[in-house]
Amino acid sequence: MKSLLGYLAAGLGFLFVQCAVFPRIFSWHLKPDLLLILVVLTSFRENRLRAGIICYLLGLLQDTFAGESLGLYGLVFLAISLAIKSASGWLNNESPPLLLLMVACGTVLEAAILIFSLGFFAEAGPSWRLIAGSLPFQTLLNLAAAGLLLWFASLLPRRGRSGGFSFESSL
Amino acid sequence: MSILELFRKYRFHLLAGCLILAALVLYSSNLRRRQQTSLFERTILQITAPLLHGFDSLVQGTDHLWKRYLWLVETEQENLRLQQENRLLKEALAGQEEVRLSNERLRKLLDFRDETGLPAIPARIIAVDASSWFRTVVIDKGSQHGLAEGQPVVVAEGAVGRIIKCARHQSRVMLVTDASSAVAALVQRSRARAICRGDGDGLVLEFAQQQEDIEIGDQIITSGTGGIFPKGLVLGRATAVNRGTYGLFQTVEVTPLVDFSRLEEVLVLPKEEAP
Repeated sequence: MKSLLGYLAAGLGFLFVQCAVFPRIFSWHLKPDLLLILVVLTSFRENRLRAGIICYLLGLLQDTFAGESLGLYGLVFLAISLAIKSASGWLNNESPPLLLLMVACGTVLEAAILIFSLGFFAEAGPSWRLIAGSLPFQTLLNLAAAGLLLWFASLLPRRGRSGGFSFESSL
Repeated sequence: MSILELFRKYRFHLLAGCLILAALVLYSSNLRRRQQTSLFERTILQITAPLLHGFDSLVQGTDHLWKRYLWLVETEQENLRLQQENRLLKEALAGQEEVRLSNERLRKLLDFRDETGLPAIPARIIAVDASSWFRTVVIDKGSQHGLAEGQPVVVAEGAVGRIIKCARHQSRVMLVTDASSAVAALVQRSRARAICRGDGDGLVLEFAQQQEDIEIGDQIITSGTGGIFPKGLVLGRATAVNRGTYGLFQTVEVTPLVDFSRLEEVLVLPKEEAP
């Protein structure tokens, strides 16, 4: 319960940065998706069910500040979490650059599920063009943000694997 | 292999399938209630309201402090330039009284509230959409100030969007440039009817019949038939007309007159209560 609240608090903090801080620095419409990075990390750290639930809740948080309908990002983040969980068995989880690869894959998967959901369920017009058009730059932005977070985490004093939160130890 | 063994073997896939299906059903059911703000959304918006309001005030305060008191490097030069300008302006002022009066009359004529004849609630934009794919903003007024879902949001240059979620102290506005937004529109010169859709950065006029007279430079306004926006709000100007060889409709690219990247203050037009 404590860690669930911790993830949600981190999610709210990241959302605040995305909604209120980034728009004052970058363009309104292109910003790194910090919650996606959090979803990737959560999927590595937690077991399948916990990761699924936490990622779904993080998606609902994102839904409160993005798009029109509640549940869209919930679905997207849940699917990303399950995909990462099923792929993580074949990957070397000890490698920090794996986070970058997963963030890139997560961004593409996010775009694909958004296009599918908006197109088939919400009749959201030409959303697919907008999403597909900005996907390469969005992927680069997310990679840069994940790289910066990794670098920042490497500067922090390392704690034991069972102890505090560390990006590298989580991988 | 028994069913139980099969279940054990594929339990992750089954669980994943069930979770995805449940999430899809929840999303699908929420789509039917997209004009309502759920308890979850209201709570999260309520929790984050003080943070967003506080951050907005902090940024404004810091900006004010920096510009007024700290960044004074060019102040002396600026002062000399302004004194010179002041002298010139004083000379010019005597002959400008007539122009001033005329200007005042025009301003009154152009005043947006008088023009629409509708009550308007001013609001500040305090945050924007969390993702890069959608075009929504958060404003600092909510149901406590008389706002509700579906109310149109405008600025003097034209239509901005509509409220999609409303909490006590803040609301979310979907901009007309969002890909999900569609506004019933009218070409001001020829009165041709169409639908104005957002495409992320601009607008596209769809379902305008081939034979309709639409030219580059035409002003596109709201038709008032969509049930959200009152009639006559400016949406933008036609910048490209694509008639194509076949098909029933022509497609027109519309550039909004509102600069959405520089929006700071907006007006919400509350709907008049039915008698």
